Amino acid sequence: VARRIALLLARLVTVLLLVTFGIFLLVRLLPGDPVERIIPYGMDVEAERAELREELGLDQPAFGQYLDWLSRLVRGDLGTDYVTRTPVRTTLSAALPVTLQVLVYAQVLALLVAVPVGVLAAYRSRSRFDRVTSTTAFGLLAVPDFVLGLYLAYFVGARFGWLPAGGYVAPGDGIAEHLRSMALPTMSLAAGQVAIYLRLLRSDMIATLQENFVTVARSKGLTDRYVLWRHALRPSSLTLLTVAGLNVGTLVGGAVVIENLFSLPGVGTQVYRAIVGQQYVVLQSYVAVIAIAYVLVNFAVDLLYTILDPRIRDARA
Amino acid sequence: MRHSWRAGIGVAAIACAVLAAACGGETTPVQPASEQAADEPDDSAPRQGGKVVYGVEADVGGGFCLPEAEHAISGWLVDMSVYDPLVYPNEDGELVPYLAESVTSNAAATKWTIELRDGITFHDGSALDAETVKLNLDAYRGHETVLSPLLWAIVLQDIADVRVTGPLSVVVTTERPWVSLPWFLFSTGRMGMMGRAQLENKEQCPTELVGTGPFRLAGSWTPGTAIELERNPDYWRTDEDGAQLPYLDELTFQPVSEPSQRINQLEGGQLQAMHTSKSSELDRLQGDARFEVVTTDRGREVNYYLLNAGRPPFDDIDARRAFAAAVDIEAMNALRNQGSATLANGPFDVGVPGHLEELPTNERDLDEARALVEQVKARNGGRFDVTFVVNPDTGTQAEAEILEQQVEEAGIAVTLERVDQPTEINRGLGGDFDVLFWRLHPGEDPDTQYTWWYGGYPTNFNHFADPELDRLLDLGRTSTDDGERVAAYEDVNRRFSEQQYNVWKWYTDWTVATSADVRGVLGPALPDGSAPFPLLAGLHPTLGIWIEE
Repeated sequence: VARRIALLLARLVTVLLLVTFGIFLLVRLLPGDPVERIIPYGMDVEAERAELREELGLDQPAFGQYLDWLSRLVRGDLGTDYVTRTPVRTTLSAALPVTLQVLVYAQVLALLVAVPVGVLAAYRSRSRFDRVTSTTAFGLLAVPDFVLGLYLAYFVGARFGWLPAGGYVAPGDGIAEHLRSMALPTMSLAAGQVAIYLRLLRSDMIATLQENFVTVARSKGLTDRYVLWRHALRPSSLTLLTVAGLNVGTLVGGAVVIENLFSLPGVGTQVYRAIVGQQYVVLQSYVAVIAIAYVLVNFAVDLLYTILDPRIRDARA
Repeated sequence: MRHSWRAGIGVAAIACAVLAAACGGETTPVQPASEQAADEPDDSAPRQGGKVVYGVEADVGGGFCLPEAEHAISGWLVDMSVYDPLVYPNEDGELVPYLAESVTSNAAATKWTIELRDGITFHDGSALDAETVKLNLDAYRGHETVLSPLLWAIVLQDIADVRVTGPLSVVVTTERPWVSLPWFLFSTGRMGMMGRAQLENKEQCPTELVGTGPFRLAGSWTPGTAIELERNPDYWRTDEDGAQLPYLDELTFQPVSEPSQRINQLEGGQLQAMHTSKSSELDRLQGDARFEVVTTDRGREVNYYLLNAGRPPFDDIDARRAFAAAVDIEAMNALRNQGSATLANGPFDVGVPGHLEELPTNERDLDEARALVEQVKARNGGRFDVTFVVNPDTGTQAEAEILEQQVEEAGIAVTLERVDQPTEINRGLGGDFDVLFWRLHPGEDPDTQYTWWYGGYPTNFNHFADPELDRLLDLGRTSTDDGERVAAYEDVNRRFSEQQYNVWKWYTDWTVATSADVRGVLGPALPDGSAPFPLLAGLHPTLGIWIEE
């Protein structure tokens, strides 16, 4: 266990360094100067600009700025918004729960839909049901989440009034209203994932159903339902699980757009604000938090492998 | 005889009297969307209580340290809800006292006395007194303050001194006669009076809001999230019937940047009010009995192509005329507004002193454009290249591409640069552009435009130095003769037309839409009993909003 935790930490540090340095370089390629964003007016205020540049550490060489930010991050200081002087820790603590909620709901919804449909599509491979689900999956894959979001907001939210077209209700203000407020953003994010998970599970499941142990199980007189859910699903889920972990990154990317579209005050909204406002430190800190979360999620997925397939645990032992 | 600022700055009303036809534009206060609703008079008394979520077009990410803030309409609405200005314009375009009991000047308009109302308190319980108002005015003009009010310091540089002369009395001395100073004390609602606790705490200033306004911050506000306000129980105003203002218990400003989503959320019931300046969105709202729609055709900002006259090719008047002659504004109006916007013929909206009906709107004349382009090219080694610096809004992008085609037909080569809005502004300030797609000049006193046009000012985005314009602007600022001021601004308008510094497009029509049970968008009567100016560049008070049972 100690070895695996050490491995996790090494991976975490590597990913963190690569991602944050990458984003550090990227945001500096953006046109404009953050100091001019704060002091945009007037041509005769170079002294103030220089003072502010020094205060923000922007007068240092780029690599020095990065190391300075990194050393603060290690000490738990995520930095401060240049303009509103609000600590990132404050905005993050307000935004992170919202994003975690929408990501978890989207993953759960995607898996709740994809797993039974994928299993059934594999069991009835090449049937009409399989063809319909495959075509639907391709359709969902082809529609960007924000386009689906706009359609859902217009039809489900505005025209029919079935679900809120935007806004956020915290769980503490009523769980039913909270779930209603999260429904359309969750559906928008989950739709593409459903299609991916469904296709993957179907393919793996078809292969598993041709394995000898499935034939043996059937020959023992076990029902198809029992064979499918108890024998075939677990070994067919490894790819699905891997992709579900990796897709957290995709979902976070989608959340930047979806949160803005549905007026959710989450990390995506804050990342968008940081990009538009050229808030270097804020953006780096948010990306670092996302990167840490991403590595941790994939570590958890790694652990789940051993539960799903004892052969992996035995091999590692 | 002392110069009265009411008479001095009530030039809008005078201009209306002179230009009666020009002032025919009328506001449509709480225009019911359905005929049925229109037939039913709304005689019910305002009801106390309830909550309204107001969808605004942008996140006010920079916070609410007003002397440092750069707010547009979304910020102005919050400013007007949390803070009160010293004065407010009424429906006749005259400023009337608000937090102030009176604002009067000496005959030369160089010494202004502000007498404050007694008994008004800030949200933190501290009293509004002369010392606090001086602290505010000094903070805005960048005098002895911990804040950095760069734009305000430029705008208010004609203020020489602010002195407390009594517990509720402040005297503002100006460097020269300044008859429209009270309009700067309003500044489209941006000059709210802030509590000492907010003004003196630079770090917390953007997020710890302390005003005297009808609403106060409910809990705390995190930038990037909705701004949740609650009724100020100690608010100093009542309505005409003596009912305590504001009517609402809670008011939330929810940023929803996508216009169609604002309407979706209004339709879905998540929002109870929203605003938009897009005509295409208005079509969806009008004629629907579920909404009340308020719109106006007064006090509007102007949309235009801003030309950089500070560098080639547009430092040459022929180049500017060539560009203007190549542009088809009608086609652009069709593209952006389905042809519904009122075309502008100058920087001043109908009813604003300086507006002239006689000036033509821009008309395309491709032959003239080509002839002028040839002349310009002959003087510039065969070149006539321009750069459009435009923001990434999809409508603006489409417009930029059509404009590119139009002027290229005349022989002008175009480079299109897409940048975000703050970069666009900074490029404008630095003069690193040829054409900007601009919206400015709300219909207040024309002297409030001084900063944008005076030669040598860093905020003169056109980068021109025009001694004749400077003379007229100085005259408009300093003259105590209303007729002379109106004439000066009419000459400003003519000068813009002659020199073609800008290509005027259309006035921006702001619309506020609410769910059918929301009333009172235009606000209750002002303290003097007159009605407030309706939707000044989209701005309206929020203290009069109420929900019908």
